[in-house]
Formats: sequence, structure tokens, C-alpha cells
Amino acid sequence: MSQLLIEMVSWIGYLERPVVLVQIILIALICLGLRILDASKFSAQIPQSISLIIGPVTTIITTSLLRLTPLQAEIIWNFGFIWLGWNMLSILQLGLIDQITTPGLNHLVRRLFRPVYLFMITLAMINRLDSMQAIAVIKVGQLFGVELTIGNIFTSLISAYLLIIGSGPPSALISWVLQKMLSFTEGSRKALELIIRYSVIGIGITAIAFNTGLNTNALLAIAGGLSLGIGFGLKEMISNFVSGIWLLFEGSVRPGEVLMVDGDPCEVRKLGLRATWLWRDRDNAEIVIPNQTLFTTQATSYTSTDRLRRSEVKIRAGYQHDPKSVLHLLEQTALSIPSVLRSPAPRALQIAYGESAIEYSLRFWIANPMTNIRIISEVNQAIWATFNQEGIEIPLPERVEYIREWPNSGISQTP
Amino acid sequence: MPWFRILSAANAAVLGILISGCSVINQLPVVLFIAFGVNNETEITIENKQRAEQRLKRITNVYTRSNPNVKVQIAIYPTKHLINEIRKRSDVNLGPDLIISNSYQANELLSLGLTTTVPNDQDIRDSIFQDLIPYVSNERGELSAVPTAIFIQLACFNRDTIKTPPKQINELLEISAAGDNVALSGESLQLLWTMGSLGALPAINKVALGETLEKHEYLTINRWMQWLQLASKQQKFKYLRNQSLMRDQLISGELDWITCTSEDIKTLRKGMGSKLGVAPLPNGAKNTAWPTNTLRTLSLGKDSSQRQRKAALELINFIMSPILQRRLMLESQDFLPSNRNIKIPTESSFILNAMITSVSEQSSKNDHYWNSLSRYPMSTFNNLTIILANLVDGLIIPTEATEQLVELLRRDHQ
Repeated sequence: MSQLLIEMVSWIGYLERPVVLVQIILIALICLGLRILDASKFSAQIPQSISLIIGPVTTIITTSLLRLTPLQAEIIWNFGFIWLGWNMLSILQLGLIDQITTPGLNHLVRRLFRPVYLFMITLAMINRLDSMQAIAVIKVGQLFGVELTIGNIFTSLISAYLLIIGSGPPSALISWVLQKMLSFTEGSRKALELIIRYSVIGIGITAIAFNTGLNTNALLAIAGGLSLGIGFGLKEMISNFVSGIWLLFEGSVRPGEVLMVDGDPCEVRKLGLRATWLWRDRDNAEIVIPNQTLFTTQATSYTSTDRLRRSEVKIRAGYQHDPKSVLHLLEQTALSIPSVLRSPAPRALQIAYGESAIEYSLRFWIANPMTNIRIISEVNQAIWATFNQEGIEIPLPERVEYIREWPNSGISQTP
Repeated sequence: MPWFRILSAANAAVLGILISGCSVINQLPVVLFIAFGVNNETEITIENKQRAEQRLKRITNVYTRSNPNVKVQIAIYPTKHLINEIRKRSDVNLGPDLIISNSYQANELLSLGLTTTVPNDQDIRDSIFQDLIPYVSNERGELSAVPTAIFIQLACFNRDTIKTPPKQINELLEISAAGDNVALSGESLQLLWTMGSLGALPAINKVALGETLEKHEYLTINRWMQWLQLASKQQKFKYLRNQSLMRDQLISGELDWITCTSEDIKTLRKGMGSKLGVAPLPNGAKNTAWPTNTLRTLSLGKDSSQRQRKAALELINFIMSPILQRRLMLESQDFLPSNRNIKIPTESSFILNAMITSVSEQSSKNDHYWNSLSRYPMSTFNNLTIILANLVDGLIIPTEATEQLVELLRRDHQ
């Protein structure tokens, strides 16, 4: 590793060259100028997408003139294009922020495009400063008798990263094809997609380890080390991972399922290695729950066997109205709402005789558990309109207080 | 944007250097960037990197002891990628200060404007063998680089299986027929020696000069092609594209006779010990072989600062000193020095003896042909490699190969 550091420190020697030094100073001044401009009120008036282009484009245009002089300014010229490329990715990401329906694209920019761009630029820069091939074979140590070089460590990390990020789309495609062939449910397809993905990642990581030069004995030793690690610090992590796999196979928690979390229906968006990601419709929040929690605690699901949910609205009507006609009215009102299922049919029940009114319950079925609150609101509004139209009173509780006079005493007392 | 903050910090550092003034800069160590093209290697491995670094550090460590203000940074490239990599670096003014390459590449680097000619070169011209000067001169006679060492193309063989190395090229076919495994390089530049042994060199030279061939001259080229194809038909005779593969297979015992460069000898000796035999390449019945010797040169990069250029020239002068060249030659015994003021002790080393024999009895007789062939770009030799590969694979007959070769040399004639 010290050899690499020595190489990197020696790159400072390029600053010895006036052409290089002047260009580095100019780049520094450009960045300083933009920093000042960024803090000014002027920049607030420019749309963000345009302000992202101004800097690099100005640099490229200015440098194209400088390139005709002996300064050449090739470093600034290249810097301008690298900067433009990076900001174009920011613009692409800005455009995707509104696209909440396609989070995958945004995810792709953040997790794949940006790191790949940064990686390629870094490699290109190193290649201009030094011999990439020679740096790649710098030894950094040994692992189970295998000589580790910068090159194979870097390659392994990059391959593993791309495997984890890039295995998603192919796994989705395979599971989709299998779904079309074998006709299973969407939840099962998502579960299968994850299982394929984990398998690909597992096999891929092993292949990378073999490619690095680690043999079976070394892998067994690593596995032994991991077992020891599990006993101490990695227990929770492994527990979450195994819980996630188990939940997938069991099918109780799969992407697309709807679970009740703190009284709110939440849709399972992703079953990760460590945690499950749920989406709460009420406030568009994403909730991250460790897999182990879902594995060990009680959970309410509306989608385990089917996606139907029975919902309920409670209502009171005055004693002067015939319960039979009220029950009939409630059922008809429920049927007038398009989101309420015709079958199973809505059912109105007379629950109790209250202090000031008879209590009724209207029970109905909906197809999507995530829309429960919205449909309850629609049903309540319809009941209000119907009761108003039919002259049915929703009585408020009334209490009359009066003062009682005690005989043979001048003291007044409330009962 | 967090990287703005990092750059702002860098701003402060750079401005700090500026404020401290030029006098401080002059006291700072000067970093000398050296690019080293490793011969006969297609890629950089831990082993060949170490070998190349050790070779170079034997010189630079001594140099930096007396010049402690100079720090040397070495970047190693495979020969075939060297020019391309230097071009990429020079495009952004980050080119090396000193480039170690072969003479062919040194000339190409100069013609591409990636290096500069050697200034005040009279002392260097006076100290080196005069025969070497044409190899490193441009059209105006300026030195494109300084030649430092000559690596000789030789025959390397296993002494256990081959008691007496072939002296005639046809003996190669005989030992192969008798059961010894023989390999030649499939690369055209490494096969040019056979052109000398088989008498095709004068005719090829004529084509390269743009002259018309007589029928008997045409037939000499055809005979060369016939021999190459005939050899490929032998069961124990093969052509390998990779020089390092030939070297490895000789060490492992899969091969008994190969062409090698003297630069390979150290590795071969390490792998084979006393089994290694070294001899000049076999001649023909009437003609001598034309070994493709490699001239290692030092070129000056175009992007150096004044201090870097000064250090580069000092290092060149240091490398060219007779004492250092002689010491390095005796230590490694894998090159001949370019400095003509060095006496080479041939009696004590059969390797040095083979190298001297090769130069005095083979190269010196044919080297004048190089002037015509050196005008061709590397792409011509790459295309020649393809023609020869088709020939030895039996895809074309010798007459077709001859026609294609003549056509190639006429087309690329500059």
C-alpha cells in the first residue's frame, strides 16, 4: 500500500510544469468563482437545470479559445467535459424526481450511472498520470496465501458492486418469463425475482472470490471467520438476512403485500437483505423494518390469501326512525359507491340502543386494502346525503341539568 | 456540492505555493517521470514489473544517491501500448520526461511530436558505435533518442536435449524431425532473421526501395515463404505469437529450441540453470542470419519543465558513462553496451561470446538493409504478421504470400 501512496505523492511533481500549474490554478479559480456565484442572489433566479450547465459550458467555450494558444489548456478542456457529464447526470436526476412512479430510473442514476461515471473518470485520470497496468499489479498483502494486488481488489469490488446493482433487471426478466409460462401470482413473481437475484449474487460473489485466486480452503476459512463473527457482532445482520429469506419462501411478506403497521395499511415495496421497505399511502412515507422484527412479531396482512378487505362504518340514527328502513337505506347507500364491491354484498346491522340514538354498523368489502380510508370517507359522505334527503336524524346526545330544592333547608344542592 | 469545498481547500493550497514564490519551488525535489516499455510482453504482471523496476532501479538508485533532490517515478507499459499511452498522457501535458523504448518506437515518438530531439548531442555521438546512429536519427540527422544498450536476438535451447545447436537453418528442420520441439515467433519482426538466412533479404530490400524485382529475386522471397510453410508442417515445429510463452515453455521443458532476445536470458537462466544453452541464430548455406536486435533508447519527453529536462539529461549522461555500462553488462550479461569505449570480455562468458558473434558475423553484414525497412510503419509489420500467419496455417500458398508481401511493401512504401 505504501508503494501506491508513494506513486500518488509523486504525481504532485507534475505541478512543477508551468503549463500544468497554470491550468490547475485556473480550474481552482473557476470553482471559486462559481462558489461565489452560487451563494449570490443571482443564482437563485436561474432554474437549477440551467445553472448546472452554465459553469461547464462556459469553461468549454473559453478553453476552446485557449487551446489555440501555447497554453493549450487541455486539462481545463477535459475538466469542462467531465464536469458537464457529471452535471448532465444531475439534470437527468432532477427530471426523475417527479417520476415517483418510476423510482427504478432514479435509483439507476444514483446507484449505477453516477458511480460508473465516477469510476471511469478516475481510471482515465490515473491513466494520464501513470501506468494503470503497473499500478494494478502493486501488491497490497496476502489473504490465505493469495497475493492481493490493487488490480484484483479493485476488480473484485467493482464486479461485486455491479453484480449487486445489475442483477436486478435480468432477475426481473427471468421471473416475468416464468410467470408467463407457469401463471403464478404477482407476489410469487416478485418473490421468485428476489430468490433468483440472491442466487445470482451468491454464485457471482463466489466466482469473484475464485477469480481473485481464493481456493476452496480459503473460502472455508472465510466462512469459519464469518461464523465466529456472527457469534459476536454480525448476529443481528445474519439474523435479518436469514429472516428475509425465510419470509420470502414462506410467502407471508412479499413485495406487493399489504400489512398493517401502527394501524395504517402499508404496502411491501422491497424485501432487502437486512430490512423490509414498506410504503404508507397516508403520508407517502417509506418505513424500514428489520426482517427479524417481521419474522418474530405478530403482523396483520390483508393480502395473504386474497386482496379483499372488509371495511366498516358506524352510524347512529334517531329512535323515531324504523330500524328496518334505516338498514335498507344504509345498504343501498353503500351499493351506490363504485369502489364498494357488489359481492360480497354490503351488510347493515343494528348494533345497540344508545343513550340518544340507535347504533348501526355498515360493513362492506373493497378490492384494494390501500384505499380503505378514501372509500370510508366516500361512504360517510353518501350516508350524510341520504339521511339528509330522507329526513333521518343523526341525534346528538342531550343532557338536561336542573337544580333541586331541599325541603326545610335554605341550602340548595345539586343531585 | 461537497466537491466544491474540497476544491476550495485545494485553491488555498495552490495559492499558498504561489505566494511562497519561485525560490521555494527551486528548492523542492524534482520528480523525474520515466516511462518504460517492457519488451516482448503483452501485459504487465507482478513478475515482469518487478524485473523491469529492479533493472531500472539499479541505475536510478545510484544516480539519486549523488542527486538526492531528484525523485524518480517509473511507469511501466507493455511495448505495444507504449506509444498510445504516451500520446494520451502528452495530450494533457502529463507526458513523461524520459521514455525508455526501442529505437523503432523512439523514431515514431519523435515523428508524432511526443518527444524532442537530443540537444548538444556531439559527446553522445562520439561515445556510441557509429553503426547505431542511423537507427536513432531523423531525416535531418538529429538524434531522436540516445541508444544505451543492444539486446541481441539469439537462439536459446535446452542443452540436455540439444548437445550441439544448429548452425544451418535446415538443421532446425532436422532436429525437429529427430524429435526436438522447436518454436519460432509468429511475429514478423521476430522472423526477419530467417529472411537473412534464406537469402530473401536483398530482394525484400529492393522492393522496399521501390525498385522492380527480377524473376530470380522474386524466387528468393518465394523460397523463404516455402521454408516457413514447410517448417510449420513438421509435427514438432510450431509458431507461437507470444515471446513470453516461448520462454515459459522452454523453461518447463515443452520446447527444446526457441529464438530469444538476450533480455530473456536472465529469466531463462533462473528457470533452467545450467541446462540453458545460448548460440547465434543459424545461418543459411550461403547467407547469414539477420537477427532483429533491439536497441534500447532514451527519449526526451516534450512536456518537461526546465528542472525536469535538466535532470533527464543528467541521467542520460550518467547511464552512458563507460564505468556504469560495463558494470551493468557484466552483472546482467544480457545486453551489449552502446558505448564503444567498453571492452567486452568474451572469454569468460559463453553468452557474451554468442552476442558478440551474432553482432560481428551476422548483424554487421546485413544491417545496411535496415535503412529501407525502417521507413515502414509498425502497421506494415503487423500486416506482414497476418500474411505469415495465413501462410503457416496453410490458408495461402507460398506464391500467394510472396505476392501479398510484395504488394504490401509497395503499397506502404513511403
